Amino acid sequence: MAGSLIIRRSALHSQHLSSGANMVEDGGWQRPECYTAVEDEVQAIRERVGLSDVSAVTKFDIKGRDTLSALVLRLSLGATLQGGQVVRLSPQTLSIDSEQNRLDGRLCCLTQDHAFLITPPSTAGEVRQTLSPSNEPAPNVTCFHMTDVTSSFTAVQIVGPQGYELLCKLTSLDLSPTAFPNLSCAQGGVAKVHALVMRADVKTQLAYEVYCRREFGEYIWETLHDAGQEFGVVPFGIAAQRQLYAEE
Amino acid sequence: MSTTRLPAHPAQVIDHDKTVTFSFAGETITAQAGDTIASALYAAGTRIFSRSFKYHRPRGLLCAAGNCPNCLMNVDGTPSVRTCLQPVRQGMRVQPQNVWPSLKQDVLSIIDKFDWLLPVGFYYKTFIRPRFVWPLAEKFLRRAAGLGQINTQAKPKGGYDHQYRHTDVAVVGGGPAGLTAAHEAALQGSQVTLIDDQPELGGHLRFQTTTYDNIGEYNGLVGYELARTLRERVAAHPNIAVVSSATVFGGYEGGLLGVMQAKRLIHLRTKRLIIATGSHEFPAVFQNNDLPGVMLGSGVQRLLHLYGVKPGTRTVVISHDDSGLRLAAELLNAGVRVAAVVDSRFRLPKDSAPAKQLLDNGVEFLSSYSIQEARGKNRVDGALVVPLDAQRRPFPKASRFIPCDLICLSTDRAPAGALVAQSGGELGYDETLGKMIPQQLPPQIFCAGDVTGINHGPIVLRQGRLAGLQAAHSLQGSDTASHDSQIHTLQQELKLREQAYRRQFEPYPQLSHVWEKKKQFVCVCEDVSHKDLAQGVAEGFDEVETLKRYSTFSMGPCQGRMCATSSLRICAKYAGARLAAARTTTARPPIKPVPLGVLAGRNYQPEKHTPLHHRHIVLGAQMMLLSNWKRPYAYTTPAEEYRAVRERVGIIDVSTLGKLEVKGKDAAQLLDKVYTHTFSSLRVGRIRYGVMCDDSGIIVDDGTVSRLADDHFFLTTTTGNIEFVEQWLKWWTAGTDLCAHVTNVTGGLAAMNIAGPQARQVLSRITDVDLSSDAFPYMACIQTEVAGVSARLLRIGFVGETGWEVHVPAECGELVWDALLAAGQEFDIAPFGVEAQRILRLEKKHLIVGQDTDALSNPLEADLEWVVKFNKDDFIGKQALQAVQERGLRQKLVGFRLRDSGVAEGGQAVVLNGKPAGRVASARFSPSAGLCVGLAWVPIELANQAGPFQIRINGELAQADIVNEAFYDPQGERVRA
Repeated sequence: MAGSLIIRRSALHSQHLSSGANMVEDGGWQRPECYTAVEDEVQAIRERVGLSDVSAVTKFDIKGRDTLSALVLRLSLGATLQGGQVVRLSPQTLSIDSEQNRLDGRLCCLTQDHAFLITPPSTAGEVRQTLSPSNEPAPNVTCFHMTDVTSSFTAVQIVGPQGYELLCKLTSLDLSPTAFPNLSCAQGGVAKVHALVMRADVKTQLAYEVYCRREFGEYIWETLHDAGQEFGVVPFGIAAQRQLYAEE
Repeated sequence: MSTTRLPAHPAQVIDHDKTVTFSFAGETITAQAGDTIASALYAAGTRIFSRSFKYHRPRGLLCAAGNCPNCLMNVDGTPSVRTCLQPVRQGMRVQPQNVWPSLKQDVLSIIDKFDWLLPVGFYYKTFIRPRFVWPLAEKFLRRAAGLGQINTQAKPKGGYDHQYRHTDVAVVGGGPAGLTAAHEAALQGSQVTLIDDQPELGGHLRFQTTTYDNIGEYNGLVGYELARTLRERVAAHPNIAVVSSATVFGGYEGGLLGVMQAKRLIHLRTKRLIIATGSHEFPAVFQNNDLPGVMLGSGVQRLLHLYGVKPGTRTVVISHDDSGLRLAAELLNAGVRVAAVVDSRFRLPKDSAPAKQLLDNGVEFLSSYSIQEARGKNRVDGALVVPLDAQRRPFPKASRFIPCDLICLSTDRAPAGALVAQSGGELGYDETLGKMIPQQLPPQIFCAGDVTGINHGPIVLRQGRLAGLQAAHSLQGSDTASHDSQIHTLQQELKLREQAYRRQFEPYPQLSHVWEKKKQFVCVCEDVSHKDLAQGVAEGFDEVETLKRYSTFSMGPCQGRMCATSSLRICAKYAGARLAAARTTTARPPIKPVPLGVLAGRNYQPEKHTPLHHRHIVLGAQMMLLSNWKRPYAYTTPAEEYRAVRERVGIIDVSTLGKLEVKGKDAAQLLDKVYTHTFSSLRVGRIRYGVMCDDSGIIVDDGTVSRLADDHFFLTTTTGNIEFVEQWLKWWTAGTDLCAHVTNVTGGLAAMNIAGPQARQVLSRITDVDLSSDAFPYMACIQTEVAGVSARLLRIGFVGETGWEVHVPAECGELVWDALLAAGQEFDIAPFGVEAQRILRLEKKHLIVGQDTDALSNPLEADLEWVVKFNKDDFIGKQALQAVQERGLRQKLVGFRLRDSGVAEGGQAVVLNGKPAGRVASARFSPSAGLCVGLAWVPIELANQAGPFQIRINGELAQADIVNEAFYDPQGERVRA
C-alpha cells in the first residue's frame, strides 16, 4: 500500500507544534517524541498527571447481533464478555507482529452487540484479517460488522496519580478508583462532548483514555490542559511513554 | 478605644509575628496574618460594621460565623462579602455598603425616627394616596432599597469550575458529631466524604478552652485539644476524603448534594447522608437587641480564641445553658471583667467547674433572670435585666440596670435543619427542647449532633458514632450480627442519656410584652420587629408562610438562621396556635448564597474543527461558526471565488457534511424505509439523492447515498444534522430484526469538493482513475487512491459544475488538500468558502434543509416530488404525504428572479393583495443572471399563476418572476460534462 510512505497527522498536530513538541515518525504517524525533557515529563506523570495524544492507535467500531460472542470465538478468549469490561489483547492474540508492536490491544465491550477495539498504530489490515469471517470457526455468525474508525476519533491518554481529580472536573461519570477499576470502560459526556472513557493502567500508574470525535480533538485537548492547570498537568510524548511501559 | 490582643494561644489561628495591612473606608488597618477582615477591624476598635436594611440603624459584629447580615461589606469591588469569614489579604480594599456619607454618620438613619411611615407591609399601605406622593416616594425608595451595589462595569473574573464526585457516605459538618461519624463509617469500610465549611475541622470545639468530662476516652481534654484529636484521627484514615471551606447549599434527588468550595461547585452523589450540620446561635428578642455591643456568645468565643481579640472590658453574659457559664469563665480567663451572669434557668449547676470559678471570682450570678433591654446610643452602655416569675414571664417592675460595654447572648440555638428538610426528612417542633428538630428521616439519611436539638458533648459524640455505624451497616447488608448488637447497645445508652438531658432542660423565658417597645428585632436582615410580626398576625397573616411573605422576615442574607425560631414562636403566640403543630418556612436551596458564576461553572464551548482547519487559517480565510463548526466564509471575496468555480476550478472543504456508514445485509431495506426514495434498486458504484421525512411527512434531512457494496452504503447528511440522523436511523433499527448498522464517521473523513470546468484536469494529475464521463459519469462513486492516499470519489454537482467530492482519512487531509492545490496551480485553482457555495447552489436551485425548509415543509410542497416514491411498500411519512397529495398543495417553494436591481433577503415577505402571504427562503445576487435570484415559499395560487408576484424589500414592493427550472445551466449539461 502506498500509504506506508504517507505521514499521518492527528487532529492535535498543530497544537503539538505550538507546544514546541519534537515530532517524529512512529508507525506511519507523526507523533510528539517529547515536549520538554523526557525525565521531566516522566517525573510529572509519576507525581502529578500527564496527557498524551494516542490518536494514532487503530480503532474498530464493531457492531452486529453476534458481536461479543463472535469476538470470543475469533480471539479464543475463552470467557464470556460483559458490557463495561475491557480485555487486554496481546499481539499474539491479535496475530500481529509482536516485534513491531510492543503495546497490547484493548477490547472495550460496550453492549452485547457493540464493541470498540483498539490495536497498535497501523495494524488495521492484520487485525481485519484476524477477525475476518473467513477465519470463522462458527459459520452461524452472520451479523458482525467492523468499521475502521481510526480517523474518526481523537484519543487522549491521561496518566498519573491526579488523573482522576482532573477527569472528575469534566465528567459526571463515576470514575473513582473503586467504582471504575482497572480495565473498565464507560460512555458519557466529557466536557459536554460524548466520549468513551477507559481505564487501562500503565504498569502501576493510574491511567485513563478518553476517545471523542475527531472534530472535537483540539477542544478536548485544550480543555483537559486548562482543567489540569491546578494539578500541574504536562503533555508527554512517546519517549516518556516508552519509559513508563518499560518500567517494572 | 482600642482593644488589645491576647497573648498567643494554641487555639488561635493568627500569626502574632506577621502583619497585613488593608484599607477600610479609606483608613489603613493593620491586621495579623490569619485574621478575618472583621476580626482585624474589631481589634482595631471598629464597632459599627454596617447600617441596617430599612432603618439604617448602626449594627455591630453579631455572629462572627457567616450567618447574620451585620458584617456585609464591599471587598475589592465584590458586594455583600461576609467579612467575618473573609481572610485578610495585603492591600485589599474594604468599603462599607448602604451608607452615606459614612458608617458613623449615616444620613438615612433619620428613617429610624420615622418608623411610623414604614409599618409591616408598608408597601401595600403607605405612599399610595394622595397619588402625587408615589412618584416622589418611589425615587427615594429606589435609592434607599437594595443591599450593596453591583459593579456593572466589572469584567467576569472567570476561574469557576465544577467537579463531580461520588461517595458511599457523605458527612456534612466537621464538628464533633461529624468527625466521629466519618471516622466510624470509614472504620466499617465505607468510602467517606466529609464536608465542612471552616478552614479547619473541629466545629465549635476549635474555640472552646474549657475541659470536657464524661466523654469516655477523651475525658479531661479541653475543647480545642479534643478537636485536634478527632481531626487527626480522621486525617489519618485513608477512606475519608475531607472537603474543607465548603458549603453544602442544597440536597437534591438521588442523593445529590450541591457543594460550593470557593469558585468550585462540587456535584456530590452519595449513597448515605449523615447530617451533622450543628446549630446556629441566634439572638434573644428584647429592646435594642441589635445595638453594637450585643454579640452572640459563640461569636465572642471566636474573637477570643481564634483571633486573640479582647472583645470588651466589662461584659454581661445572658445565658440559658452551660455554654453561657463556660463563656463567662473563658472571658474571666482572658482578663475581661464579667459584671454579671444572667441565667434564665431556675436551677443553676453551681457545682460545675465554670460556675465554681465564677463564684470564686465574685461574679454576680443572677438566676431566673432575663434581659429586657440593651441601652446606649450607637453602642452598648449597659443592660437592663429583669427577673422571671414562676411562669417564666418577665416582671419589668423589678428590672435592674447593669453598666457594661458588651452583652453576650448564649441564650438559644436553632438546629441547622435545612438539609434535613431538603433531603426528604421532616422537621417538627419539640416542645421540651423548644426547637424544630428532625423527626422523620428517610432510610438513607442519618442525623447526629446539635442538629438533633441536643447540645451536650457526651451525647453528641455517641450520636456521631451511631450514625456512622448505621450508615456503613445499611450499605453492607447481611453478615452483620455483631453490628446489630453494637448499634442496639448504643441506641439504648443514647436513649437513657437523652431522657436525662430532657428532664433537666428548662423552658425558655416568655417574650416580653410587645407593645411596650417597638425596637425588638426578630429579623435583623430585613429589620422586622416583634411588633411587626404581632401586627401581621393581627391583620390576618396568622400562618408562618403567609406571615413571611407579608413581613419579609427570613428573606434576607441569613435566610432565617437568625429569626426562624423566634418568628415561629411569635406567630404561634399571637395566632393562638400550638407550637407542636407548627412548621417552619420551606428551606429551599441554596441554603447559603451561591454566586451565579459558581452555578454556571466552566464556560464550555465545544467547537468542531475540520481536518483542514489550520490550512484555512494559514490561507487567511475569514472563519465563521456554523452549527458549531468553524468554516471559511471566504478567502478572498465571494464574487471572485464564484468566478473561479464557474470559469476555472475551485475547491471547498466539505468535511463538515455528516457522514455515515450503513452496513449489513438489510442496509438497503433500512434506507428504503427512512428515505422517500428507493435505494434497494441503486447499483453498486452509483449515488442517489435522498430526502428523509418524519411520520408527518415533514422533511428532516437530505443528502446523498452512495452504494459501495451490496451490504454497504455511505451517506452524507446536512451539516449540523448528523447527530439527529444517526439517532434517527438507530431508532428505526432498534427492536427490529434488521441486520443494518450505522457508524458515524463524520470526523474521520476529510472531504473536499473540487469543481469547475477544469476540475477533471486537476484531479487527474494525482489519481490514476479514468475520470472521463464515460468511465466515471455524474452520480457515480469509486474507491481509489488520490495523491497516494486511499480515497472515496463521489461525482456530484451541488455547485453546478463538473466536480468530485474527495473523501480521504482525516489524518491525510492536509496532504491531499496540498496536493490538489499544487496540481491546480497552473489552472489558477481557488479555494472557496461557504458564501460562494451559497450563491453557486442557489443558481442551481438546490435547497438546504433547515435553511429553506422548516418544521412545516414537506417534499411535495418543497418541489421535491420527484424523490417521493409512492410505489414503495412503505416509507416513513408515506401516509402523511398521501394525505397532502389528496388534499392538494397549499404552498410551494419556487425559484424567483427579481425584475429590478434590488437584492432580497431570507425572511422578507411575499405580498399578495397587500398582505404577507409567503416568505423568501434564500436569495442572493446571481452573477450569471445579473439579477437577484432566490427561493421563496408562496401560496399555491401564486405558484400556478403566470404573472409576477411581489416581495417587500425594505418597505418597497419589488416585482419577481417565478422561474421553474434552475437559474444556471437548466439542462444540467455542465455537471454531466
